[in-house]
Order: sequence, then C-alpha cells, then structure tokens
Amino acid sequence: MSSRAQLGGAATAPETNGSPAALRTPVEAGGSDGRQLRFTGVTKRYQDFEAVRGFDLDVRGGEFLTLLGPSGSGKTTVLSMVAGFQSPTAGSIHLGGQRLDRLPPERRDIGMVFQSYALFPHMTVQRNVAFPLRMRGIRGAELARRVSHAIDLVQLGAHSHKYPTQLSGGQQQRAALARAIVFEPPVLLMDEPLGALDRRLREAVQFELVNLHRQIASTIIYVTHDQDEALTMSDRIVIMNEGRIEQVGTPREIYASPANAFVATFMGESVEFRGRVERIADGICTLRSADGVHVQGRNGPGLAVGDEAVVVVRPERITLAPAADGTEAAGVSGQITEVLYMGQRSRYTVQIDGGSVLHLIRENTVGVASYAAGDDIVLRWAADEAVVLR
Amino acid sequence: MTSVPVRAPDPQAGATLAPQEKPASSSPPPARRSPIDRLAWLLVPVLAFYALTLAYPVVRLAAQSVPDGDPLRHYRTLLTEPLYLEALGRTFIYASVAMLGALIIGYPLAYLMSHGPRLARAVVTTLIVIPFFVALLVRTFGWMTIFARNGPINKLLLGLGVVDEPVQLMYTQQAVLLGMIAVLLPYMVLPLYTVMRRIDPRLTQAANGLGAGGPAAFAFVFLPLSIPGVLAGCVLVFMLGLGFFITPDLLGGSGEQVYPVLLNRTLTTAVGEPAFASAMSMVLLVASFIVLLAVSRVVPLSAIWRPESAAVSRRSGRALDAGWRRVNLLMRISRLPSIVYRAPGHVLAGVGLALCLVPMLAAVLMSFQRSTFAEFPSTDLTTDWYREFLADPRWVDAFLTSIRLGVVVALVVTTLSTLAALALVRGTFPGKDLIMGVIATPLIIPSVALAFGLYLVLFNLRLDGTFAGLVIGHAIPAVPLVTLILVANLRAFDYRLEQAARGLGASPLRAFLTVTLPVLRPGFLVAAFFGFLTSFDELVFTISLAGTGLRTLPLRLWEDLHVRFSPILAVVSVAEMLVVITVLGVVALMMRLRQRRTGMKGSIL
Ligand SMILES: Nc1ncnc2c1ncn2[C@@H]1O[C@H](COP(=O)(O)OP(=O)(O)O)[C@@H](O)[C@H]1O
Ligand SMILES: [Mg+2]
Repeated sequence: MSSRAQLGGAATAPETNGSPAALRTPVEAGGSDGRQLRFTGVTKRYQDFEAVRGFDLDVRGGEFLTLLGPSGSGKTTVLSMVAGFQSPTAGSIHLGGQRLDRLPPERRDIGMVFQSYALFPHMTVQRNVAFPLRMRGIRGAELARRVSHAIDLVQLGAHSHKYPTQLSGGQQQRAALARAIVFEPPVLLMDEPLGALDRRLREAVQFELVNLHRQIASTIIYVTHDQDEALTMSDRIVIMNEGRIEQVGTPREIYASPANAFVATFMGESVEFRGRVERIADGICTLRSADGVHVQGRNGPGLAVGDEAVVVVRPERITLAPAADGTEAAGVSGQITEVLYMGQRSRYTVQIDGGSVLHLIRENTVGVASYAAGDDIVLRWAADEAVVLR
Repeated sequence: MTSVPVRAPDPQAGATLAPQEKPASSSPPPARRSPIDRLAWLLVPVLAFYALTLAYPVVRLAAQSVPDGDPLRHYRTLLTEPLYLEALGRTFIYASVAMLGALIIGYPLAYLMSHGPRLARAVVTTLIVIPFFVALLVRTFGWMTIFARNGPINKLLLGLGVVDEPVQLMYTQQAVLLGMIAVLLPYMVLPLYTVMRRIDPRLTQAANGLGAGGPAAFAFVFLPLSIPGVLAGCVLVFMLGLGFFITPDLLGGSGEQVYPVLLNRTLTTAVGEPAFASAMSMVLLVASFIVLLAVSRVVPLSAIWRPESAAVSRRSGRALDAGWRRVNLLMRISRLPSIVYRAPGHVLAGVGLALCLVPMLAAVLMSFQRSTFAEFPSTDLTTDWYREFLADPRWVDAFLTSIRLGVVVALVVTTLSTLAALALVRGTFPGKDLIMGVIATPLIIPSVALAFGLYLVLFNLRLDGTFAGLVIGHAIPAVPLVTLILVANLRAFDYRLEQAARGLGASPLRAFLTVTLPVLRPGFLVAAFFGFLTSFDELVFTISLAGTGLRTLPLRLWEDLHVRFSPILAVVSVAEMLVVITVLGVVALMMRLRQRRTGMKGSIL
C-alpha cells in the first residue's frame, strides 16, 4: 500500500514539466543516483556513551524515509552526522557514491529543517529563503525567481516580508521548509518538524509535506517519535532504539510483521499471549500458555519446539464471538468483565480463562454484535495475522 | 549592568507561536483599577531619593554657575580658553579610542564567554567578573607599577637590548589610553555577553548547513544579532570615558589632560571658586546630555540596560542587503584552514585577558617586594609590608570604615531597590520603561560633576564629611545596579507559586512573605552583596564628600598615590581584591544554592 494513495487520494506520478522539474536534482553520471545515502557501520560516541551504534542503512534516491524511535534513541544524532554538525566516531556516510562525513557542513548541500526551525530572526522570510542561494553566489533575477518559487511552494506568499517572530508556528515551519528546499538539495533532513504544532495543524501539514515531496526530487529523511505520523507519511520506516536499528521496512511491514517485541509494542496497540512453543507446522507456530490455552501465529525466526515465546496480534485483527456459537474452531475463551461506551467505539475488558486480562476496542458499526459485562466470549484471529516472537 | 541573573534562555522560546508581536512595555489594561496600581507608591522612596541626589544637585550647580553681575562669565571662559576647549576635545577623542579599543578586544572575549568551549567559558568569565568588581583605582595602580621606570616593561626592553636606558612610559598619552581601554574593558564585555548569550548556537549551525562557511555565518548571522550588545557596550564605555578621571589622572601626570581631570583638580584645589567649578561641571553634564540625545536617535537608550531588543538587530538585518556582495570574498576565506581566520580573535582575546589579569598580578607581586621603589620584578621577597599595613591604624581604620560603610549602603540600597523592583515588575501603571531609564541614569552620566552638585546640597544640610553623607553618595551608583539585579530576579520568579499560595488562602502580603521571599532570598542577598561591593570600591563621590575626617580605603590609597610610592599601597590593593574575591565567591555559592533549591538558573552575570 502506498501511503501517498492513502493520504492524497489518487497517487499521481511526479510532474515532469514546469518548475517542479527544475527542482529535480539530475541523476549523476555513472548510473549512481546522487540522492542515495549509504550509512556503513556508523557509530557516535559521546565520552563513554554510545548514542548511535553500528548504523547500517541504504536510503534510496527520492525516498521518504522516517527514523522513528523513543526520545533519546539517537535520531537527532544520525541527522546531525548527515548534516555535518557531528562527525561519526566510526563508520562512513556516502552520498551518491561520494564520501560525505569528512566535508564541513557548508560543503554538503544538504537541506535541514530544525525542530526549532532556526529561522534567522533578523531577516524577513524572503531574506531567510534567499540565504542559501546567496551563499552559492546566485543573485539578481535568478535569485528572485527561485526565492518566490520556493515561497509559493509552501504557500507563504502573503507573508514573505514578515519577520519570523511575526509568524505563527505553522508559518514558521513553512518558512524553514522553503529555506531548506530552495537550493534543491539532493537530501532533505527534517527533525521532528511538526513537534511544535498542535494536533490539527500537524495533520494538515503532514499531508502538505507528502504533497511537496512529490513535487521536489529530494530524498527525505524525516525524524519523529509519533507512530501515526511515521505510518501515514513514509515510504519506509526505520525503527530505532538505544542507538540501534530494530527494524527497517514499509509501514505495512513494520505494523503487521514487527521483527521483535520492542517494535511490536512501540508501534501501536497489541495484544500478547505468552507461552511455550508446542508445534511448528507450515510456517504456523502453536503456543501453549501457562493457562493451558492454545494460541497460533506466524512462525518467527529461530524458534524451536519448547522455546518460550509470545504471540503478538493487533487488536483490530481479533474477532469476538459468543462462547456458545457452536463453532469448534480454535479460540481463546474468556468473559467480558467491563464495557466502556465511547460513542463510535466501545472498550471491552476481557478476562481470559486462566487469569490474564486484556482490552479490546470495537467499532459500534452496524452488523457488529455488542456485548455486555458477564458475557462469555471467544477471541479468534487468523493464524497468519499474528506473529510469534521471542 | 545588564549583567543580571536571569533564567537560562528557553531553547523553544524562539519557536513558540507569536502571531502578533507586542511591544515589550506592557501597559496596563485601562479602566480596570486593581489593587496592583497601589504598587506604584513603592516607587516614592527611590524617586524622592533621586530628586534629592540627582535633580536637586543639578539645579544647584546650574544656579551656582551663574554669578551675579556677569552671569555667563565662567561659561565664556570655558568655551573660549584653549585649555578647556582642548581638554574637552581630548576627552571626546580619548573616550572614542577607549570605546573602539575595548570593542575590538572585548568582542572576542565576550564570544568566548558565551559560545566558547566549556573550560574557556569558565576561565574567561571568572577573569572578567573579578576585574569588573575590583576597584578602578586598584587596577590603575597595577598599571602604574607596570609602566614604572624600574618596572617590568623597561626591564624587559633593557634586557633584550632594545633600549639603552629606561624609556618614559608613565605620564604618556599611550599609557593613559592603554590604561583606559584596560580599565573600561569589563563594561564593554558584559553587555556584549548578555546579548551573545541569547544567540541560539543552532542559528550559526543552520547557516553552516545552508552553505555559509564559518566567516560568512559569522558576518551574516552572528554579527548582526550581536549588534544590540555592541551598541550598548559602546554607549556605556563612551559615557564612562567622558566622565573618567581616576586612570587619566594617575597615568597622565600633569601634562595634557582630559576635562574630568581638570574638573576634579579644580574641585579639590580651587575651593574659593565654587561658581567656576559649578560651571565646569555643568559643561560636562550638558556635553554628556547632548551625546546621549544624539545616541538616542540611533539606539533606544533602554538598550543599555536591556540590550536584547529585537528592533535593533532587525535594522542590522536590513543593512545586510549591502553586504551580500562580499559573500564571495567570505566564501574564499572560509576555504582557508579555520585556524587562519580564527587566529585574530584568539590573539585579541588573549590580549584582553592579559589586560585584565596583568595589573592585578602586578599589584600582588609588588606587595611582596622589598624595594621601596617600583622596582620589580625582583627576587628579594618579604611580607614586611603586610605587617606594616596591619600595624598602621590609618590603614586599618580606613579598611574598617569601608566595610562599615559598605554594609550600611547595602542595607539601605537593597531596601530602596526592592520596593522599586516590586513596583516595576508587578505594577501595572504606565511609564515603567521611563522610570527604569531614570533609575539607570547614574550609570551613564559623569559622576564627578554630579558629586560636586551633591556636595553643595549636603553642605547646606551639614551632611558633608559625615558617614551619612557618604552613605547617600555611595547609594547613587549602587541603586541602579541593585535594582537591575532585583528586577531580573523578580521577573524570573514563577509568579504562579504566589498565586497558588493565594488560592490556598494566604493574603497577598502573607503569600509574598511565606512563598516569594524565601524563594528569592538568595537573589536578595546577591543584590545586597553587589551593593556592598559598589560602596566598597567607590571613589568619585567619596573624594567630594568625605571632607577632612572620614577616610575610606580607596580614598586613602588615592591620596597616598599622589604623595609617594610605597609597596604598602600594593598591600592595600591586595586587601581590596581579597574582599572582592571573597564576596564574589560567596555570591557564586549562593547562586548554586538557589539553583539547587528552586531550579532557577543564573550566574553572577
Ligand atoms: N552533545 C552530546 N553530548 C553528550 N550526549 C549527547 C549529546 N547529544 C546527544 N547526546 C545523547 O545521545 C542520546 C541520543 O540523543 P538524540 O540523538 O538527541 O536522541 P533523539 O533525537 O532520538 O531523541 C541521548 O541519550 C542524548 O542524551
Ligand atoms: Mg531529537
């Protein structure tokens, strides 16, 4: 599934004529895409603390890649090493086949939107946006044309003569964006650019950013700690934890097939059943929990009969059925102990036979049965909708 | 100065939504007459004090300067005699040179203090804060020992074979100018530092990322943002330079002198001609006033005590449009190894630190030398002078008088300033900026002239030559400093704590006493200590007001320096420095305590 299609309706091919084309960085000779970024064994150590360790990643040209992880997981440090504000303790970073990590920041040609925006307070929006072009010796009509084009792209035309303190948070964010794309960098870095905006504005800008990515040719590396943001915007997501990569994949892969328990719990709600592996057949693994209940899921890597493991399943993949429905299909039986009505949805608290308690949220849609406290029920899911992890 | 403890700048502050910028002066919501307005009455004591010690003395000076018969006689003399005109012109030139010199040396120092490596920050800050509070006189004394005929510079030149006999360094124009630059340097560095500290280092980083190398990022981003500090520092140093007489008097001898030196000599010698002295004072006051008026057309004067105003850096941002043409040159310089373009700054900062440190070290060394001539360095060391100092009741009395005076001044000034600061921070009445400006004036108008006016007033009240008279005189320079510190402290205080106390049932006064005061107590103590130090170092008002009986430590030092040279004077200087350093140490400790207790950040600056 393309996140574009989901967000923007019809996913159109990038425009090929007109000014957006002018913003596209030409593919370098020799077939190597100048927008490709390659990390090889990148490590960053602060005194005795490793903020990033053994970071290996290939970023494709023109890709929208998101670094997602809890605060302190090293995301900003990775971006800083690409931008040149920090240098790796070990490893290397290449852009389009050329070694990047030894250049000073001003020679890297990388656009960056800071979380604090870092707009120059003594310059108007226009002067801020013109800054990187001036530093490249561009002036006159060419300068004016490119500045106004970038300002139009972020729809800030009406505010181009204002100073940063005269702009709202959202406008500041756009000004910072215009400044970062005006010189057509092959790579654009964004460090939690929406963190300072309120929820409603954030959603609108998410959409605009994806739209903008379609018009410019840059590879985007986007940092956030917000799972929903990552899921809706990215081509691929890199999950980071304690300076390490936990998983790389499309939003669907990350969500549906978490590589480990950290990714599973970090990415949205999940219901977990612990137990011991009893049988592995046809890629399906059956666990027997301490309560004596049998649960199934796709077999995870390196599991053998007798191992301790956990079945992870997304709550929306679980169906609820009355206990006495006559079907003999396997399931986990339990009892509803509490129902919280929330309008569009209801939240059920379920006590599994044998002890453990879990929560499920159900849409109150036509045709979906509703339950009351005290009802005996059975939980079922398709075995390949769940994953078994260590 | 503006060097006041404030909350560390919030990194997010720049990013918060500020759709419509509001002017900083928060005038009250009209129509609503809240009990807050009564806070304006708290300003009465300070304003009454200023009326008595600033406004009235100036009126007296003006009245006295126009004798019956031929009222403008003295002014005619002053404005036609080459002696006075040349002195006035020289004063402007010296003040300008001191300003530029201090700027060139002080800028890299302030940069190191605010954005340098952690260790450099700590070292430079200490080395700038200490001389800021060590008396001008003591630092000038250090320069005298360095420039002396048998001093280290001549020793070095002779040793290297550059000269055959000692060169005359004392009583030269160069000595006066170097001394002025060195002595006024901290007043340049501190406003620069307050502004630079607020410049987010990420802005320079962003400029780098956008393609600006070090020199270009400095020229187009850092420098324009630091302009408000440059202006504040320049105004402050220039105005201090206009009224400055201690250093030129001691280093310049009897030759061509600046106007304030002539004025001071007239005051202390020509007792019979108060009318002429008054006219001289008026000329200096009016000249300063004209300068301030001219300056205020370029810079809002509030920039001196609050140099972070945005308007100024905006103007410098517009000025950049002319500078973009240099971008290619700057980019070429950026390609050089960074050591090349950083070198000038490092050298200047080194010179600046030397200018601060060397005179104080010289005084310390001198105090251990056996020779009674300013012959040093030598290896013939002794502690005899310390023993002599402690055995001489004249010195011990002067020392104790200074301490007593400092304590009383600290108490009086902190009380006055607390009331004023409360009104200025909590009150909701119009004209607060103007009142703050009035309170700050003693920092920038020539105190020699003012001191003579105050002498005339106190003479009528029979307070001249008394302890009370000196308390009044010392309070004049202390009130602005202490008020600025307290205003910053009260601003940083989280007012919601007090509101919470009110919500829990405390009356306004009780909430203030049980919540606000305990939290701010270290801040009050720090302010009081700075009041103490101001008085402990004060010389200008003391010269005019002490009369014949009372002697403070700086006054006795000043008088002896004009009579004969003795290493005991170095001991006096060391004693002064020790008191200053001890007090600063205590202050630093209390800052730490406050930070631990309340999380309010702050440093001595
Ligand atoms: N300059 C620095 N010195 C020491 N430690 C740092 C520095 N910068 C970041 N760190 C540490 O490195 C870790 C990763 O930081 P960061 O990359 O900012 O994480 P994130 O952006 O994912 O929140 C954090 O624990 C942080 O404290
Ligand atoms: Mg971060």
